[in-house]
Amino acid sequence: MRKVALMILLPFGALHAQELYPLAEPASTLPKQAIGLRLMSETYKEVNQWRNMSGLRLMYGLSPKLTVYATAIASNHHGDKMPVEYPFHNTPERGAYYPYKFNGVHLYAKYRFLSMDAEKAHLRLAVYAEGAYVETTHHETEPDLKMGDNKGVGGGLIITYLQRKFAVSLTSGGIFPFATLGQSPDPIDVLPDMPVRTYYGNALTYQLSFGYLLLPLKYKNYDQTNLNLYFELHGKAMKHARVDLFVGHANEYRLDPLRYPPALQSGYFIDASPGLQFILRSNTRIDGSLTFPLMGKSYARLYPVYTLGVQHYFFRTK
Amino acid sequence: MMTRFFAAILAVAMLSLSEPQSVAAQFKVFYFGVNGLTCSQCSRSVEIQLKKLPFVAAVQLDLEQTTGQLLLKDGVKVRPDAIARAIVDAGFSIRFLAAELQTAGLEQKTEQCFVYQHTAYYLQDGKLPLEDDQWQVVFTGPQFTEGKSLFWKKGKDSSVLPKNAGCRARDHYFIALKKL
Repeated sequence: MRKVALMILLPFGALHAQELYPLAEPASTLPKQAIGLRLMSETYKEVNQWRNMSGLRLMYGLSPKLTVYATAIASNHHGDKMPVEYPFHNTPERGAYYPYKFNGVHLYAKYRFLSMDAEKAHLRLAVYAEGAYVETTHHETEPDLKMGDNKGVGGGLIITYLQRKFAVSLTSGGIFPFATLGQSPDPIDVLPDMPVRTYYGNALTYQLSFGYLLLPLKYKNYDQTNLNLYFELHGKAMKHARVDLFVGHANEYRLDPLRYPPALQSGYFIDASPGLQFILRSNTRIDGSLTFPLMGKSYARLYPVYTLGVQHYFFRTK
Repeated sequence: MMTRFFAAILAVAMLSLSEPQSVAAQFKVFYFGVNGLTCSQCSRSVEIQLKKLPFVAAVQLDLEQTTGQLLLKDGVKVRPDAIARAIVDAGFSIRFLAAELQTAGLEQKTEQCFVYQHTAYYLQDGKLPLEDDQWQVVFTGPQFTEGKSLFWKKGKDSSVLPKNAGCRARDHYFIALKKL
């Protein structure tokens, strides 16, 4: 029996490369009918307080090729109103106190349309679509759907290549945020708030992620803790915003973009995020990363941004 | 003395009763390889999908080699295509599927094919060694060799039954033999 097994189970090389990036989504999808739960957060220090955005994500493998996510997002990143004298001054508003509150939901679907597998490598391509519905006041043209800065839709392409312990993934897509109507308080208390509508800039998103399996050196069982190293480059190139003032009033007008502060002007940036990940008992995943600016900068966050994630899969066994 | 004699006869009779009277044909174990596995988390999802199959008693996966064995439940119809589908459902592709078959008592057996559990198995090349009581079969249909290469090398298309096929059943598979 052992002899037969040895004849059949030819000695193939080890295959442990990792593509479970802390920030990027790989082109691979969840197993059919698998349920995943992910708790994730972004935190950074702003003046004298910590801003935190957290999401609780439910993941489901609808089919071997189609995975869907639904994320509930909460944060202390958005106030009830736009800044005073928005967008002329206080934009983006720094150091203001915002209560921690539920922002809305983010939906995401990923379809893997190409899989070219080998014993020690694979190449996978997927397309994704996402949408967010949130009630937030956002002060920058840079849109973000994942953590609920904006409502809007997006989509793109993911290419993931894996070779032994090393994996690389390229993601590129677009975000098309929806306009938001908000109230900007007048600095003179007795005067009413000014209604402002902001059309945030459409954005091109790009992400290049590298992953390397550091431990275990040799797989023995499912209880071994995996340690993965990651380095991710990611950023956006966005158009300038458009801001309408006194919306609904006789004196409604669109402010000339030349008068916008830098946070509402067009621009681009590339951030770098080194990360570390532990996978416990082949299921529970704990990852963290730190984000620094590399080229340009995001006005929507202050650096460094600390990202944490905890994820667990629940498999249907029947 | 007489008591010991009868006790010995009883013991021999019980031993003979406990041995199988006849050996039924059966797949004893399946061996498979999985492509695209990247981590122990991935292997675990493959194992869980395979455990859902009604004929699978146990799954043993080798994380290093990305290969595994399926131990089978007695008397439950085995569906080799369901094994391939379970691996695909887990998000991966099958590299090979092979099985060990005990041949005594097969429903039908010729040099080109045999029928087992109302399923016909056709040998693609050569002749079945009818005198052997155990065969090592490798499944050769495209569903068992997909994803074998990054460069789209597909398995041989075995969708057409050979002319004058001697074995008829609702389902059929194509196999090759591997020497024990």
